[in-house]
Amino acid sequence: MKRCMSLYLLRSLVPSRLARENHKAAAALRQMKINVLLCSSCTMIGSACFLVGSVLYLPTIGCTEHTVRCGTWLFVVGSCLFVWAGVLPIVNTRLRAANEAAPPFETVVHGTVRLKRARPTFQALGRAVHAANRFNSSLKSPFKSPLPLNFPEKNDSAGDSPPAE
Amino acid sequence: MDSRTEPLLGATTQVPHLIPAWLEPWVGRSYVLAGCLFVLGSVLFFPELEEYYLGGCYFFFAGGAIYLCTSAYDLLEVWHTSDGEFDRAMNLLYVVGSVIYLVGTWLYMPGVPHIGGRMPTELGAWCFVVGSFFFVFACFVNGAHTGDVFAEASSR
Repeated sequence: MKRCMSLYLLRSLVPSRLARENHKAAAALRQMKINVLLCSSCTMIGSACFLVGSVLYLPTIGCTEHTVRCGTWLFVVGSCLFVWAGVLPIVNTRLRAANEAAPPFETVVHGTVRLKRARPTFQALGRAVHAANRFNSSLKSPFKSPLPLNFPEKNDSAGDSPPAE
Repeated sequence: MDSRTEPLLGATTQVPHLIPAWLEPWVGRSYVLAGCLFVLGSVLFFPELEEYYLGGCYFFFAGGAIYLCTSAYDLLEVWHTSDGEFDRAMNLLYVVGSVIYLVGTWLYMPGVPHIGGRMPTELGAWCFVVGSFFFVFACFVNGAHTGDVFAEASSR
């Protein structure tokens, strides 16, 4: 009974961990989008500031000390935006590096066929869940995996092949 | 050609091959350095700091040169690793814009003779206007391309 309970808990753990991984990846992707949008906007507005600032330097439009000062301010603002646009990709790179932990799924290539399967740790958890189901089929968990899990059986030779990176 | 998979976007990105991989982050940092030099150069263009005007020109020239080098490196890298017309066009626009900026800064240096009966500062200002147009256009191309990449990543 104790074993059943622990396996039951284990089964409920699988989807929650997958969901957490998915949520983490989605949050990081959202943050990346924001960073890229900010970076593009900074470069765009900075370039526009340079454009207007340059026009204010043109003697043909009656370049005075006031227009030069305004133009210089625009150049300063544009340059600051360029600095910020340079900093954001560095932040983005760190964000990517932080998310390089192995995802719960991996892609296995067999010739021209690409298959997606759970990583070995998740396969082990899945096998334990299947064992629990076989042990007592009346134990039906209300929790369902949000993702299609493809857990091969332990004696299945395809499941024991080394993961292709 | 070495490649690695971007874990979040699911896209295949190329490992830099023109320079060692450890040097690539410094390309990104050099953009920040160039931006800082632009800030310093711009500040020295204020009428109150007229005596340091030449220093401002040098700062601007150094910043423009760094932009040109990094843009040229990005263009070469993209030319070797990607078939994407968007990437090539964007980096080409940045390179051309940087060259025009560099010429414009040179025209602001003291001692440059009149060209075609026009003051060098006027021509320099026109160079800045045209160079900025190139940058703005490159930003548009970049924005359109990045939007496509993220739309693809979200649809997966």
